Amino acid sequence: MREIQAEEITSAVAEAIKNINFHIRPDVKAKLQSALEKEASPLGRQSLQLLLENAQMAAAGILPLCQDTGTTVIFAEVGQEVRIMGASLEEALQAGVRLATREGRLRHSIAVHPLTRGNSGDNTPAVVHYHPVPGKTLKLFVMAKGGGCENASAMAMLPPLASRHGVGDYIVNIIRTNGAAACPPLIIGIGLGGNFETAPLMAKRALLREIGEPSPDPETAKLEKVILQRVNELGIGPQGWGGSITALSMAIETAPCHIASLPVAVNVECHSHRLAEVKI
Amino acid sequence: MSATWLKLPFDPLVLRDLEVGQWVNLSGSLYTLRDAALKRIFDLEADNKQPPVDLKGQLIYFVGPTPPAPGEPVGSAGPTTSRRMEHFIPALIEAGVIGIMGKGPLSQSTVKELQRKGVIYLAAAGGAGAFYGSKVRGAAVTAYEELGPEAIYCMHIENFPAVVAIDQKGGDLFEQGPKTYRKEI
Repeated sequence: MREIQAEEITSAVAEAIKNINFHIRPDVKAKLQSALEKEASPLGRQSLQLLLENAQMAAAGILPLCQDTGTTVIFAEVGQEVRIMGASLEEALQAGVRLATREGRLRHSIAVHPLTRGNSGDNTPAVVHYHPVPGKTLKLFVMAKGGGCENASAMAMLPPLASRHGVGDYIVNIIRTNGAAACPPLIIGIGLGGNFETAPLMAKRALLREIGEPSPDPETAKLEKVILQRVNELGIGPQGWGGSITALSMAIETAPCHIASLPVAVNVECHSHRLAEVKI
Repeated sequence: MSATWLKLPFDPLVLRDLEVGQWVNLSGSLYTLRDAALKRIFDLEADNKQPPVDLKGQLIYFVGPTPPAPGEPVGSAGPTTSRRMEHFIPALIEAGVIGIMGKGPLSQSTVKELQRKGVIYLAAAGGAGAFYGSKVRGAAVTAYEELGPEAIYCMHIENFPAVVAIDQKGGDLFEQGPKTYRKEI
């Protein structure tokens, strides 16, 4: 067994959360720059320019990229030969969120109850998904997920024989209806197949992929390309002000499903896309 | 980008000339509002009580900023989704608000309501929180401090750029913009 101290996890998580809130990912920056070259709308180009300027200002470490510093979502791949000392993994992760919120002056964005709406005051609890994996490493994907784009997300149980086109129609319709309010240019994660609870989880997992990296499955990769093009043909554009770049990327994850079902989940992500990978 | 410089609170007369898609550069004072504070005001209105702020002639900015760094008035302060506030927009208009600012489209019925009353809607760039935070020169909590980021602030802004999204002439950027670039059949 390999022993890892809980404090080490806490401080690594806190560093990651602070980092992603102030520093734009290189893949996102590159995509925004190429969008700036391709965008047909002058207003769209001006808004992209403003986002790049925003990223530069945030990098000074005083003002976060966005005032919505998000819900912390963590995918934890826990090596089966790892033993965590001093606290539970859950406690270590939540302590990291608390520390980052204080040190990074992040906004308190979590309501403790969906109806009474009291604020937790420290951004806990983070949403954590645990996956046991072989080995001695603890790998964490740490994401700060904005509320506006999460609100634009949706899922449906389509008829099982809905074609590729039918799946595309559903996704394109969601973006047509919700995309402009979700801070485009968007990053879109799709979960196709699985069941009622795994499809949205796959959609979120799809967001962990490097921006623009196609699915390893050639058929799925083709579908990603086709639907991304359809989304961009909507004309929503950066900020929803009209333009040719509505989404920067589309990533689809698939899983087997029941013969009666075809679940599809659309997880919409804004252009800030605050995500880091931490290995301990 | 060339922009029209506007002082806040607005001279209502200047609003007549604004056109969809035009950049404006704002300087002066405005009030911030979002979900929780609006709900409180709305509940007050239901009991025929007065809102804690006189909103007459004001620009309302839908925002929930991050906490300030030491010595700074505010942290990041970009716009939040306006659609969520739609339910309260008639009440805001009733209270005398003459402009609202946020991000994203509004429904057809709200667009019509705004245009009927001559209230303009400005769109700020969503996700540019650091940029907009740097344009805030002063911020004081006016009401509901306990709501944290959702408190009502009086903000003093300088050189704050936004795009006219709904004008008094019947234009709606979120309808017209996408129509221009739509390619799907």
